[in-house]
Amino acid sequence: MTIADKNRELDKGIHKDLYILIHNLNQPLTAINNYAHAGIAMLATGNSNKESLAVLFEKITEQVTRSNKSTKELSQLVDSLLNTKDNSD
Amino acid sequence: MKTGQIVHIVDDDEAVRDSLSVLLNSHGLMTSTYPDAKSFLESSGMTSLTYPDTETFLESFDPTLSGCLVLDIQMPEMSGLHLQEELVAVGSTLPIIFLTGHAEVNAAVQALKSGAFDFLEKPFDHNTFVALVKQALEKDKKNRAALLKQREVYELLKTLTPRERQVLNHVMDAKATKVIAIEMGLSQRTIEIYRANVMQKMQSRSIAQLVRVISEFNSTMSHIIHENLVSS
Repeated sequence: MTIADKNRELDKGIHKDLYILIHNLNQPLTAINNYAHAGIAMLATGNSNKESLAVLFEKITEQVTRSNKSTKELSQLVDSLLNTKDNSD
Repeated sequence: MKTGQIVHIVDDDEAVRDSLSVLLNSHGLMTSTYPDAKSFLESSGMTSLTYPDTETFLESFDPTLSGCLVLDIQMPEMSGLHLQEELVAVGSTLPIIFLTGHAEVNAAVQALKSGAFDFLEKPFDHNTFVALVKQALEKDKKNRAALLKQREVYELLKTLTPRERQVLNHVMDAKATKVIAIEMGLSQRTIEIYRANVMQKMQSRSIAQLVRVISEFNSTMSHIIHENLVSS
């Protein structure tokens, strides 16, 4: 295996990791978006009460926590990639 | 919630499937959620359904599973595409909307080729999603109406005697009474009586109408199972 091949393999691995992290970030954001728009629709139709909206906000904060975790993981990966690049330069 | 149609949501991510369900509920749609393909198949009773013939299919055709399916394309164990295959195999007409992630276009194209209603790439606009689900529910209504019509035809076909069915097969092959009489070894007059009986039992006003109804029946059924009740 040449050095170029090896680099390509490494890049492939990094791409895969990035896709997974983006997916992990996307999932809670999709959920937050859905919950928020459900709340708007419930308010618009008058089909809501304090309890049902409280449940929605609870669910939204759970997903925000989840997306924060993914953002942290993503920035850690980016940091380590940049560090590797800096060291190899 | 006046239609009785249910949007079945299959997604391995708990928050995604719950939020999709909450969103659709807020727009007045009924939903049911499943964490994986297997639990959908089991609760819908479609695990091991096979139809050896038209009769079994039409008699077990269950109008309660009316609605559409929202399916995550990428799931561990049985994938969305695999579930779609299983459903097509058992003659399900449930419209399927696939949810795809980044860079899953190839899988989405494959899904469309196998008859999926549409696909949406995550993240998607909630309005687009709700509108698409409503369109899929409309499609399901049409599918169901078409199937019910075929069931009526099937009920009429059941009233034919074996001889009358034989004559009908010959009529579908566009054979003249004289030819049918020779092939069946009967008199022309007898064939004419059989023909009249077939027309009356099938509630057809003309041969053209009869041929059209039977052809439509055969082509609808051939999508579902590979056997024609009336050969043509």
